[in-house]
Amino acid sequence: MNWWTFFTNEFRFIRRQGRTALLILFVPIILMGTVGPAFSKFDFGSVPVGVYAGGSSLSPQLQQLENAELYIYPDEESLKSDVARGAVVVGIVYTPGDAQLTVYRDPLRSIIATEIALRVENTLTENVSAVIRDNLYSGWASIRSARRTLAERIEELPSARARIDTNLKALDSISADVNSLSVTDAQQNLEALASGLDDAGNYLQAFQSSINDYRSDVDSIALLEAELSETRYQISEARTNIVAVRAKISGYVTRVDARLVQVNSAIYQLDSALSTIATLRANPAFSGNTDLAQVQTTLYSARSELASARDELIGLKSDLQETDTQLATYNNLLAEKILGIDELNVELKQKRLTLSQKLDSLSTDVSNYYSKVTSAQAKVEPMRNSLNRAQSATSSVQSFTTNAKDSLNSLRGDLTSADTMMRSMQTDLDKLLAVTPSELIVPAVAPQDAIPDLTSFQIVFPALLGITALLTGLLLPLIMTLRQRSQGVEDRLLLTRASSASIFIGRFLGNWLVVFLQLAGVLIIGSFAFGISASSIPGGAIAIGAVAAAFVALGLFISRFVAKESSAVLVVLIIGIPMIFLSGVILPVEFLSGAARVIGSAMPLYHANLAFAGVFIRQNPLAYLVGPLIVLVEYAAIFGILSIAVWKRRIA
Amino acid sequence: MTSLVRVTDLGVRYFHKQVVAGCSFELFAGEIFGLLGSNGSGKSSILRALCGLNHDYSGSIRFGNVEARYADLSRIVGFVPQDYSFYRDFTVEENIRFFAKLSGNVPRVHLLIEELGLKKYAHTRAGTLSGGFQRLLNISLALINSPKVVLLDEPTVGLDVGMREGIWALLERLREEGCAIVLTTHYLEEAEYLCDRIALVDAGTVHLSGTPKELINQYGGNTLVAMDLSADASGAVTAVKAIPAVLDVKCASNQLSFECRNGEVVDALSRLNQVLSAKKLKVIDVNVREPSLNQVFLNVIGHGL
Repeated sequence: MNWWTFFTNEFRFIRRQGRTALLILFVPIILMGTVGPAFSKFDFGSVPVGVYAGGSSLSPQLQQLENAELYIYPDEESLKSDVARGAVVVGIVYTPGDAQLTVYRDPLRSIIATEIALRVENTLTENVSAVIRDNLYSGWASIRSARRTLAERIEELPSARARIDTNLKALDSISADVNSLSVTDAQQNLEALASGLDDAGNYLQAFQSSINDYRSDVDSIALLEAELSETRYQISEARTNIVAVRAKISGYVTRVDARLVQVNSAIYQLDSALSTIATLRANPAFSGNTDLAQVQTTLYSARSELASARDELIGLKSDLQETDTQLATYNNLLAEKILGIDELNVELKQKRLTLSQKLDSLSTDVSNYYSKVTSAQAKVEPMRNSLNRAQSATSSVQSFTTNAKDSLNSLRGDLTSADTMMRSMQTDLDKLLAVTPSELIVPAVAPQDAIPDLTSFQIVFPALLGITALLTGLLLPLIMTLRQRSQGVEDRLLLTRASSASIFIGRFLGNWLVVFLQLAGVLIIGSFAFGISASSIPGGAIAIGAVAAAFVALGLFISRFVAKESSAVLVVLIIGIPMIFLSGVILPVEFLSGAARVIGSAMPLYHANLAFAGVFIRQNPLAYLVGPLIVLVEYAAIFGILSIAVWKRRIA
Repeated sequence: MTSLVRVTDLGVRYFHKQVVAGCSFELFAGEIFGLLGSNGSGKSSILRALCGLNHDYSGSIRFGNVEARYADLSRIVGFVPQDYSFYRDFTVEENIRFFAKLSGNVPRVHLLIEELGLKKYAHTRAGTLSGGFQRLLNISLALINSPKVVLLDEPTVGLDVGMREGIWALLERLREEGCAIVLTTHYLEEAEYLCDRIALVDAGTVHLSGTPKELINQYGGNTLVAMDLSADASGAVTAVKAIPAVLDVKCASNQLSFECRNGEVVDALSRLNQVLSAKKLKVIDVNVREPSLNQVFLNVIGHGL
């Protein structure tokens, strides 16, 4: 665990350096207190701008230049001179109507000067550019529309050609049809039709006569109705008679019943007498038995006759009742007949009426048909005349179709020519459309911040942090190592068993921790005092860790080649200043030439600036920072390995 | 004595400059070996190669049977560089503890602090210590691993006598414990006092090596004697020149000076006394300057330290 011993030792050593450590660690924090407020507000409006209007009055557009502090110059030379000596940031030579705008920029403030020049150019060209742009876009849109219409028309050509072909075929068909038409046949047919119409007139007249005959037949049905009514009357009378007969029958039945009662009573009396006789005869004491037997026989005979009479009466009664029933049945039948006659009569009446109506209607129809036939007969003559005219028209149609076909064939040829021409136009329009308005016009420059609402301090902060990391990260390990070397400690360390790696790791960690804490302090001050987003602190802390690692490792590596502490600051300046200029901290690397840009992009400060800008300006998520952070850690590893190798080589 | 390190034909180049060439010596346990040389002579380069800070050398540095560049010297060698090599803003204890942790010898921290007399300053920032204690701390960091070979690059530069003697005592103790110590110094008396053997280094080459006494005797040259006499001594010059050990006699009025071969100074002064008595000349003041390592250096290398 020698590296831990070296780590604690290094940390203690730095702590004991008192003023040196304080100076290195707190200068950036003091800088924050001075630089921070200085960059907290960026006022573009107080920038002096010189203008020479060529003796004319100042352009109205320039007079309205936003936030400009304008100075009018009497001549171009004095304006140029003042720009050169920095009295104004930018000099503008412009006379209204001039084609060109000359801008003199103060080279020391060229970015601001360029920005103002852009604003001036925009102000002057705003309306003109808009009109040109609108016209170009409008023209381009028209060409595009014409191209689209032309394409549509070209697409329609085959269908038009097809329609012409169809029409030609139709004309052929019409021509054939017209050829096939025979007006003479029509005339013959018309004559046949006229003859038919005459026949039909005759037939209709005969039919009318028949209808009249039918009407007299129908009228005879009325007689039948009268006869039926008579029959009905007679049946009604029959029914009345039947009712009277039935009443008589009922009287007869009643009388028969009375007779039957009498007969039954006589029979009863006979039976009693017979019983008495039998009783008497059974009594041996009765002497007149023989007489009684005769009487009994007589009585029996009388009773038998009476019984026979009773049976006849009963039979008569039954016949009467049967007759009555039959009469009732007849009566009912007759009643039904009456009803049937009534219904038949009604039906006959209705049918007669219906027939009469139909006959009337038929008669009317026949009259109508007849009048139509008469009318048709009247039209035959005009039709005859028409057919004569149609015959002459057919000749005209034949002539017309021939002409139409000729025209269509000509049109077909024209369409082919039009197709060729339109395709040529299409090619020309395509050439026109290939050049877009955006290629023809210079778009108006409208600078917009991709990340709005950033304060100047927020923009400067990554650079401030990066430069602080560079200076402290190099200077602290360099001075501490050289101080230890000047105290002879390095030689003594070489005589111990401590490995080069453990010495490096211990020193690296000790210095890294201090630089990290210092940068974290700067970050926290920036967050609390100057509006650095607190949400960027975690990402910032990681970036600070990686940046501190790269610079501390570089500082330890450099320390291998620097002999004296007094040279340390000079060495840091020699290394640091080119790095500051080439790494995009002050000016983006895009300002550099190709080779310098490659060199600048390879420097640790470039990646530190990327990481810090990513965190504090672009507010990138951590995933976006992996690239620069990996490069920084790689730098730390490379410088570490080199330091260890150089240390070993020094012993060798 | 046990040989710990054998350096044979060592060469070190920095870029295109050969700073050490053909340097050979051997280190033994329980001795202090001094490397004497002027600034830029290559002493520190030799030490850096020895301690393993520079593997890009030619020749051979063998620790036992292992070549230095392949050996784990962190447990064998302790190096004290000429400049302080510790964290100025850490306390003494923090410094020692940090390097002890790297060496896996944390339990030795307090022992070392006490042994080197740094306990009182254990919680004092190293940068605020006096020079002597900073040197002690510098040395203590090299001793954390109880090394068998200790290399010190001018460890007493700028120290007062008291602190210097304290460090000397520490080095003597280490020698007694069996360490082989290599010491570079400008202080010749320090080398003469401490070192068991000395090597003279110039232009990256070891010109001589041996005990201080051997070197002085062999390469130190003559003893210089200068006298102030009571009267003009020109009359005695001939008699003085006749003394066998005396060389290069010079006389200016009543001042007389000459060289005397090393080891014969007493006899020569006795004879001189007789000559002066005969000429009735009295010695008012006499200054005898014996040869030193510096003289050795001058004689051998051609310039002093």
